[in-house]
Amino acid sequence: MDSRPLLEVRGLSHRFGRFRVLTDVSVRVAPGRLTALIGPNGAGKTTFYNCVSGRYVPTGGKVVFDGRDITGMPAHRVARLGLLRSFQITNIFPGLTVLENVLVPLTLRAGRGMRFWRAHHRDPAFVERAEGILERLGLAEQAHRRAAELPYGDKRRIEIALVMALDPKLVLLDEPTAGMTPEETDRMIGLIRDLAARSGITFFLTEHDMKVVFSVADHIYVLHQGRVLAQGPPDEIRGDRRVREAYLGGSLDP
Amino acid sequence: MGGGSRTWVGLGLLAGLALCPLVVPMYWVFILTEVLIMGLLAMSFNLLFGGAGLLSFGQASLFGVGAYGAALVLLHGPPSLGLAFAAGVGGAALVSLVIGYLCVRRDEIFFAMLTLGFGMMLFTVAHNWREVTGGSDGLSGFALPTLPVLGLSLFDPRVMYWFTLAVVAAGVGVLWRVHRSSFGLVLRASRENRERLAFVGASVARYRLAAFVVSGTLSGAAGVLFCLFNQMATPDVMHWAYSARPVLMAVLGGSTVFLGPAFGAAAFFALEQAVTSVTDSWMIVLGAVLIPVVLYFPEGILGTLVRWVSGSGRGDRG
Repeated sequence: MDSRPLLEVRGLSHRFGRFRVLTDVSVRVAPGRLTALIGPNGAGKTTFYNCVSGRYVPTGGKVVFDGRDITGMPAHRVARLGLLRSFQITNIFPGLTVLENVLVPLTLRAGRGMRFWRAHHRDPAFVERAEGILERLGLAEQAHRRAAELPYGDKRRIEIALVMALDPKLVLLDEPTAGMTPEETDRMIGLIRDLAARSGITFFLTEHDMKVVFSVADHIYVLHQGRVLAQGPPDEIRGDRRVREAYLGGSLDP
Repeated sequence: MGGGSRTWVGLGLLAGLALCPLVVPMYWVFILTEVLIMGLLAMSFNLLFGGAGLLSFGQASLFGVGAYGAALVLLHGPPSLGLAFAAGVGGAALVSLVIGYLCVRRDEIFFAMLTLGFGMMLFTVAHNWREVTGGSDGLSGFALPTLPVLGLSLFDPRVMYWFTLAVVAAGVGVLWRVHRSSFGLVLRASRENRERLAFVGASVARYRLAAFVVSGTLSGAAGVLFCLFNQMATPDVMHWAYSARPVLMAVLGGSTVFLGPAFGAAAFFALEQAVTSVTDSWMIVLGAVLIPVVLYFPEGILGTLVRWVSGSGRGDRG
């Protein structure tokens, strides 16, 4: 990688009590490229995300985003810098309408969250932007329904819509297709490819579904027992003997 | 309901309430005044409960700060309505800023217990600091101020009622604007999923604190009215048992509809009046009404009625 990385994680370590979850993990994410982090269940992928996105303060190492040291910074400040994440479990505002779900981050992004007297989220310009985002994610027709009422695949796309509303530079997707039907998975893969190609947003995703990873990623990191086992382009990873062993063979074929 | 019909419902309600003293017996004017005051307390409580999902069990202590603030001014200072309000409302705002700052980082039962704890501390101050607060007797024996410009006396129960109605309507108007504002939207998002809200860039504690201060300030305004209405401030309104009132009223009327808690206050007093004429143990009847409401109509009386009328699913409606 030649250009300055958008995200650079250096020697990240994290432990819960005496239990080491991550050991000396270093990752570089180049702007505009789709980087993936894979690994068997329990390899530490989600902990890695939690350390990078401000949910946990890592016990060691450094996280540099867009040239700034964000190690240990709280989640809401990391988010304001343009590093956003989606969640493995559906994590939206269930009691609000789909449109309101998107209006919340738009309101915050515009710095209008503390307006007690005016309803900026009802301004036509706001609503138009929110509807544009829903349109792109195929949620326009559900705009006025309560988010809780929608099927699982739609909820996962609301999750992405929340992130898109904030004009992110980097989006961390934590197993975006977890629990989806094959049709929903295909639709999500298409969506990620489309957004990565056209929106100028850099994506970094974790997955344990190999089919998803090898069909979208430009560069892959393999995490095993809390350490980086291998990294490289998909073809290299597919042929890597250590990676095959970590996955007990076979399951790496897409 | 569209925006236009909401306005008409609001104006119609206000006009109807304003005409009440001309048609109902004087005894009911007293009851209605108390309903209005408790309605404002319950609605300000519900900005936290229904709006932010935070159960405050110390709301009565802020109500009490408002009452004592006004009583102290009227007892020792000039008989000025403006000063009484400034002291009561300002005091409640300041106290809720301090208490709120210490409480908003906790959730659910921990938040409820912290507010209860601070509420009991304030009760103890009011109860034990005899030189200033009059101890368990409270503060009384002050002259009621007259209304500026109009020169009417608040001794007249009708004047007191109309004055109360004006203040409560203004308070409810503020709550309505806040509920509908950008802030209100973010607050509801914090109720739905506080963690997700942090991950889209909001400091949840700041939003909660702001809501706590708005809520506490308006509870203080209700407390000032209560002090004027009763011509005294007593420590029992700061006791945690009194904090259960706004909770009961909000649940009874419905915390998911804007006017639900005020409706709950009206239902509370109507029930009390109806039952106390028959038996002294009216709390048994209140419990007997509350239990089926909670079990079968979790949206409260008004919430359930609104849903039947509009025939749609749940949500945040006016």
